[in-house]
Amino acid sequence: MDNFVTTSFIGSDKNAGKTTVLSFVYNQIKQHSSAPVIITSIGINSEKVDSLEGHQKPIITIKKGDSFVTSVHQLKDLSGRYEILDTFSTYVSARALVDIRPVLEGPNTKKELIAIKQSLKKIIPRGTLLIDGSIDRQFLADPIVSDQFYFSLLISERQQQLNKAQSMIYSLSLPTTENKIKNVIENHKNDFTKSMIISSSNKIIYHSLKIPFLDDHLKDLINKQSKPHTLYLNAAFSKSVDYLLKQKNNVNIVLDNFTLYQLAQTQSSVGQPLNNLSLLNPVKARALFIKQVNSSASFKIPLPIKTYNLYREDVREIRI
Amino acid sequence: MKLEFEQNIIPTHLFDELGFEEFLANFDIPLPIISKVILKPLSCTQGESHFSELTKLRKQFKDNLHSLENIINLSSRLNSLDEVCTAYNNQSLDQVHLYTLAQFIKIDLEIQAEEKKFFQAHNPCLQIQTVLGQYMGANFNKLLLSQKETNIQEVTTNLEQDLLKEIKKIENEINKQTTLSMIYPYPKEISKQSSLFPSIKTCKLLQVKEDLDCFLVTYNLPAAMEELVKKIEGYQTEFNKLIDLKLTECNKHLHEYLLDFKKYYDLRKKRTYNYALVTCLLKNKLVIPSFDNVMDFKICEGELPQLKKKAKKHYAPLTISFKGGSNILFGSNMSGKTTILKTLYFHLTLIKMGLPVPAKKLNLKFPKHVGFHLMSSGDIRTNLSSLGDELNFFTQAIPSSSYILIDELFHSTNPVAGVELSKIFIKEFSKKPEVIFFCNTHYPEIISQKNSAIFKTSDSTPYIPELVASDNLEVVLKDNYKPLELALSFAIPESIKKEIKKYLENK
Repeated sequence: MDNFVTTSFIGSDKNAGKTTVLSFVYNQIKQHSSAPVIITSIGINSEKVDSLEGHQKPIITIKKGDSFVTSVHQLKDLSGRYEILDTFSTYVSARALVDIRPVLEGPNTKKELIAIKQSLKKIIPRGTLLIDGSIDRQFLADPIVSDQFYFSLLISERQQQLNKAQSMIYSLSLPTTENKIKNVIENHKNDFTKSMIISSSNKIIYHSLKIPFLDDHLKDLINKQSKPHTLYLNAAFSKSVDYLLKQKNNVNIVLDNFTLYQLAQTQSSVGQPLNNLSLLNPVKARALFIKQVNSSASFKIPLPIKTYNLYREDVREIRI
Repeated sequence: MKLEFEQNIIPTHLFDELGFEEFLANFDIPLPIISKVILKPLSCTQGESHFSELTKLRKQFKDNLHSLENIINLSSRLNSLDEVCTAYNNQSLDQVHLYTLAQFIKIDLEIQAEEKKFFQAHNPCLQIQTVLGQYMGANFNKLLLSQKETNIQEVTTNLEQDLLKEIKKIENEINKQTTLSMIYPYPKEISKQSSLFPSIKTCKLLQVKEDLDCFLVTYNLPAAMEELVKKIEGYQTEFNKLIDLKLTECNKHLHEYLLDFKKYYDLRKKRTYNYALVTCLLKNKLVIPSFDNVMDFKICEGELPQLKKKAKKHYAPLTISFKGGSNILFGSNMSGKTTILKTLYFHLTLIKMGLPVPAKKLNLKFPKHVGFHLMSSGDIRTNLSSLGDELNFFTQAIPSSSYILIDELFHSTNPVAGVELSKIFIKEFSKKPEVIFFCNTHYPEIISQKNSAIFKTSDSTPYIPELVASDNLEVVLKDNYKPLELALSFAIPESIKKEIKKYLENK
């Protein structure tokens, strides 16, 4: 059994409180277990000051004995406080010899992250890897990368932001596709697959590496299908594809993972969601953390997901 | 290792058409120490010395491929030290730099052990490794701390724990006084109608600020706790100072090996590059050219990989030899004349860039300059007609040891002027044995040109052009009517075909 667990933290928006949640979950892990923890970030994080808005940002303290992955140049002022575990071109994995607060600037690509994970698994086989992630990095949703997720949801007064939050909640509640279709897709897809059309007798009608909104042949074939079929998409669920599919009632749409739905909805206002949508990779959500700026907003929270509000103390809200 | 040509070395259309990119991909071996190599044209001295070194290495490893494979495997673990070298130069190596340097040296010493049989170079690797060991211990993964530094770390760790206990106490106290579950350092929002508000307001450990639709509750830390934080910061500053001193001392110690190490690192990069070239040439059956002092060119089974890929089993490689001065290639249409020029250009360019070539054998004088002119339709950007473009090509300096390749010499103008211009240029180059001038033409009048080597492509072996003896030049003229026969194989109107057939019968 694989004892190495990877947990990714994803926020609906900038300043959704992702790092705060990570820090909170990290502290909870330390209180309840002795398993070594490794923390990294997709791109840069744990900056002391928000580079865009200039306000103070939460800092993650790596406890003595725990590990982290960051960029080489972020370790310049921390000499003597860590021991190096491994190096990966521009990144370093290291174990803290005392409590330290490094700026975390981890891998940006799936390839880099997988290489780092493989190395960490060898060095710390019973480790828990926490990734300060990002919704726009689809690869985080790949089961090879993440075993489970924590989500941070920002609920503000801006309509565009509320749309993002609403679509994230919706994407988390999407069902997993039935096993038969799941097996067909997994047997035929590769790293570069962007779309597949599967007949009702589970035969592959079309397999494409083209981005769906640029794939005229795909659109043509969807329009021509008269019998029920399945469309698998592993690319942004763009406006044009969304529009095309809304005209069809004989298509069962399977998205590779929940991030693809989120991407589509951030591009435009939320319309009526499609009711024939499911996911190839289930959302293994541990919990949803809400940062609610606007108390009047109303949301349907998917029931199977535990929901917390780290910031509010009110009888009307769900408490930790 | 990704190979690229320096910009503007080869016209883009030729780079794409002749498949240089695909050829360069043969050398893609994962070698982080030389992840990208920009190839520049080599001078004659550089080129000859480079290929001589490759020849020695190939000889060395020909019967010892396992050793070369071992070296390449080890070399693939060598990281680039370019950034480390900058810090080394500035005496600002930090812990990660020292670790990276130590890892490099560890692998390099393994390579040196493998190279010992045939190559040794003075280098300071062992001395540097000793210095690094003094500061970082046997694993080189952490700085060795003095007793004083260890004591500070212990004190800091204890203080951090005290701080955590204090925080926990404060959180509990807040909860006791207000029933509020605060988690330091995060603030909390409470609604303006909250029943907790009176108790929160009187709690000395909390501050309350009015926000948009709620009250924002933050901390009011006791002075003792702030004192504790300051104390921790003080110890951290002291620790930093001691570590800075340690690193300064280590940098100073290593500095005496800087120049020798930089020289050695450059040598290691060069050798890694050469090992990679030899690995690829053995794997892809490429050949290292041999060089002569005389301006002779001899290629045996030279290939144009892009064409070979397309033609598959019908592909025929090029075998030809010629000397300095003027060389003229005749042949009917579609007999491969231009392809021969393109193959020659492909090989000459690779050699100029220091790369082995896809041939069985190649002997030449190292090219100082390679010029290739393909018939064009002119260029409106330079305001040149096709003839202007061709004449402009000849305005460039042509030093000795140049290879000048011209496709369809002066077919860019009327045949009368074209023949005269061709004769004049061919005559001029025939007086220059230090330059190889190689062109193809359809002008039969050219065969009378003296002091030029005449070649002819053959239908049966198109890529093995024959040198035509001076007393048998008429053989070239036999092909004059071939284009008419060729026209018959196309789906042109029957009335035209009929006229062509009539002409050929009466000829």
